[in-house]
Amino acid sequence: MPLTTTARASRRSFLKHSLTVAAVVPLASRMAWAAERKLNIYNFDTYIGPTTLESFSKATGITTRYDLYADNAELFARLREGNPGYDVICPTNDTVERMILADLLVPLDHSKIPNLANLEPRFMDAAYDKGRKYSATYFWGTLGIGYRSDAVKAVLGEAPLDSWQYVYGADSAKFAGKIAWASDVSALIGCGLKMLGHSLNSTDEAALKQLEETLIANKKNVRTIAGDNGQELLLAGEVDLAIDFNGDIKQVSTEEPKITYVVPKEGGQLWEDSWCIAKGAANIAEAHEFINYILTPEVHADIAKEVGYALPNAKAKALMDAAYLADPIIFPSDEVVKVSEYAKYLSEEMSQKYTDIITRVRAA
Amino acid sequence: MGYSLWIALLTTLICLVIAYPVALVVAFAAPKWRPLLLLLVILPFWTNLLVRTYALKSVLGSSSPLSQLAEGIYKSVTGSETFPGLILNDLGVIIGLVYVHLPFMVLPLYTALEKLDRSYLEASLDLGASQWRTFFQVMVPLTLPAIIAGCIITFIPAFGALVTPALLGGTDSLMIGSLIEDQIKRANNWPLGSALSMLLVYATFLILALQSWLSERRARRTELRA
Repeated sequence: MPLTTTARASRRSFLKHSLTVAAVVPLASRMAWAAERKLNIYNFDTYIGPTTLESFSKATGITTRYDLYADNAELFARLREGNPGYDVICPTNDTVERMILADLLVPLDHSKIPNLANLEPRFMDAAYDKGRKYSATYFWGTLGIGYRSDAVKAVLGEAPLDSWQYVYGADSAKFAGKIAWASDVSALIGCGLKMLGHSLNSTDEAALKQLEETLIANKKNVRTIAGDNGQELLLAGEVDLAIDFNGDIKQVSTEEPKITYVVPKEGGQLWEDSWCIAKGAANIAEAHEFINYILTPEVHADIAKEVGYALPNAKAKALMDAAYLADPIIFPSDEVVKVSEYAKYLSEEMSQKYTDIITRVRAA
Repeated sequence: MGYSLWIALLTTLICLVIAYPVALVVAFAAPKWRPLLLLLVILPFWTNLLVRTYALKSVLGSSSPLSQLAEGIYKSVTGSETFPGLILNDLGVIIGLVYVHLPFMVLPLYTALEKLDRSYLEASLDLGASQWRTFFQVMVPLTLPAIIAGCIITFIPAFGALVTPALLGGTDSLMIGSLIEDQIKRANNWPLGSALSMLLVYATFLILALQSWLSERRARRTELRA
């Protein structure tokens, strides 16, 4: 018995010692880092140039830590419970709105980001962030239908795939078992509402009810509800039609030219991802420097070459080649932009309602 | 909830049916082969679950030879024109879960079978019982605790699976894990998400309590008999 007691005592004291050590180490290292300027970046995966961070560090002497999140929901859930130490983040427009309302963002000091002047005028104001007090646009794009042109031609002949009816409505029977919906509930519901002739952001009970019934009725034609991997399913040939973002489709279309993209005539979802500074950020000056650096024409253009999304940066666009600027997947036509809408952050109650609708559809 | 239960039960059952012969082969193999065979069982654990699930996706995807073989058989047997595919449906979820959880079932069975006193089997066979009878009336009862343990450690993770149904499932494959994720991440409804998680914890406790109650009863019965 004495053996066990000593063993236990020593384990406890070991724990105590290690706790002391654990408390001292970060303090000591924090002191060592005090002279060094740091920045913690939290961004979507595959959403930066291959050398951007390196050259940023070289240009400014700021060391960066770069973490990734899979979607806006993850970002929001992470920051809502208290900022774990991130300085700059890159939410999408409706999440920017949600974060402003939840008081999770620090206002930008425009005088410290002179490169904001490079942005096209339409990105200098936004409904979701009046006067762009909190956010600086990084890239923008649309949500539509990615599809395999050969498979669509085999079914529709020369007729264009131009309606959400083919993914949600009665026409989905023509592509039975070859459709992937998106798991992003606001995208799935918003585009469905567009098909039914409502606003993407409609909160009308009857419209939502009608959509739910439509989704349940046509679910049998749908192969799966894809997370962020609709483009992979298209590439693997599992599906012929997938609700997806233009950039995702752009990336696989370079591998498989038969894969292309359309925003249906009813209009799709427009989106903008913007750099913001998270509340509780320790390195606010560095965060401004970073945002300013990203908006430098050369830097922004280099990133665009890598990620293939649409630049909001007029001066960076001037550095891009004609193929990029004329690409219909990247830059939608003015008509498409006119009928499409930005997703609005509606309310916590509506987020719950959207999730409930999709849960009911899936369980039906 | 019902769907998760059903999928997890089916997974456990299939694992048991596959794992028992595997464990038998390993346990009754020549001693020099045993470490190698065990290694083969454990080897997949060295790779991350996500990577293995993605691998399954390409191995069973509709353009893979395996899937095309299955398609040919399916079409000629049922006469149907369309093949539902091996993945992106409930079948995919089951295949994925069985594949991932098989070692959990094999290992306890192997341990029990290895420790099993072979003289019981010899006695049974010598006394004229058939191979089947020896298996079902001697071997299975003697390894029952391991079967129960294996079923429990297969069932519990399968019940709360998240990655497998998300990657290999179809439109209906909404398991409780995904439901929790949706509530926490998308609806931002942490209370409901937490409540659902607690449900999983309760289910686990319930199963463990049941197991300990059963084993206690068994112990008491053998005590009485002795």
